[in-house]
Amino acid sequence: MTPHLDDTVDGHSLDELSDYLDRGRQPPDLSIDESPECQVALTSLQRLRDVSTASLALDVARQPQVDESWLRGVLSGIAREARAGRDIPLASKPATSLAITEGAVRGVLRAAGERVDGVVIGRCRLDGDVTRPGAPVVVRIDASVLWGLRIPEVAELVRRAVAQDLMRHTELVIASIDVTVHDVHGHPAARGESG
Amino acid sequence: MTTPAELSGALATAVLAVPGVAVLYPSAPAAGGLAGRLTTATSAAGGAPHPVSVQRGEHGWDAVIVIGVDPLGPAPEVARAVAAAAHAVLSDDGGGRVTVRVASIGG
Repeated sequence: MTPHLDDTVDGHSLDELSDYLDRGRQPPDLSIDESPECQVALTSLQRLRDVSTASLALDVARQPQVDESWLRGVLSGIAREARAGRDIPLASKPATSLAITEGAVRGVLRAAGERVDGVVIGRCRLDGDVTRPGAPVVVRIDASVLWGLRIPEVAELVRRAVAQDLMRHTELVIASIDVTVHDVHGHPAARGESG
Repeated sequence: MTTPAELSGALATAVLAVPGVAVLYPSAPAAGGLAGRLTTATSAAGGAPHPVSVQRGEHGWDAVIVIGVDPLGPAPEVARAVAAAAHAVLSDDGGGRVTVRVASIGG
């Protein structure tokens, strides 16, 4: 079940993008395929589906009141953060201007964090003047962790994965990467299990 | 003299040949701001849309290129390689200014 959402990405609702995934991206829709923002959102949606297969789907099915709200928050974050946002400059030669969009970087953050088993990223923020080369930037990530995992260890793994990918794909000066685990998903009680 | 449509096609071919480039998005002219919709990249004559926006500027051609990068990237290196490839194309026709924007990574 997909909660109804008002969030849109480049003119498309997440419901539309989710349906597009369901159809295997057929028939091709150029307004989606040629929109980088939609592509960032589709990637995040696909990854969320992959992650949820083991745990989230059960939660949503058995405790829709609780999990719909949680899922809505995650999806809302995907829509909001897929938007291009600010241009983050890259060092360049004369007669050349290079930049990476904030939306692309937030996609990197989300993908890096969700490479860690059992992690779903809720929200990513880049605090600081990312448009000014050399300005310190604080990365803030809210995450949900699968019940049963050791949260401090998982948070550290997320932090390292994010740091690695930020170094690879940006020239940002990272002052800190703050990972906050704001939720635990897949709790046995939420799945109607006991013991 | 090379037309914007011809240059756009040549630039698109050159950009897509750069290792690490996953996708070339339709772009809008620099003055138009962020990566634009397909319609904004349509030629002035109303012809087929150009994947790379090219127009005459103060110092020659202005090309705006919007790309998606492979997960391995690294995005800055790919962007620089794309800019170099674009400048090589423009240099055959008087040179100009190149803007490269990385709009997605991975996927």
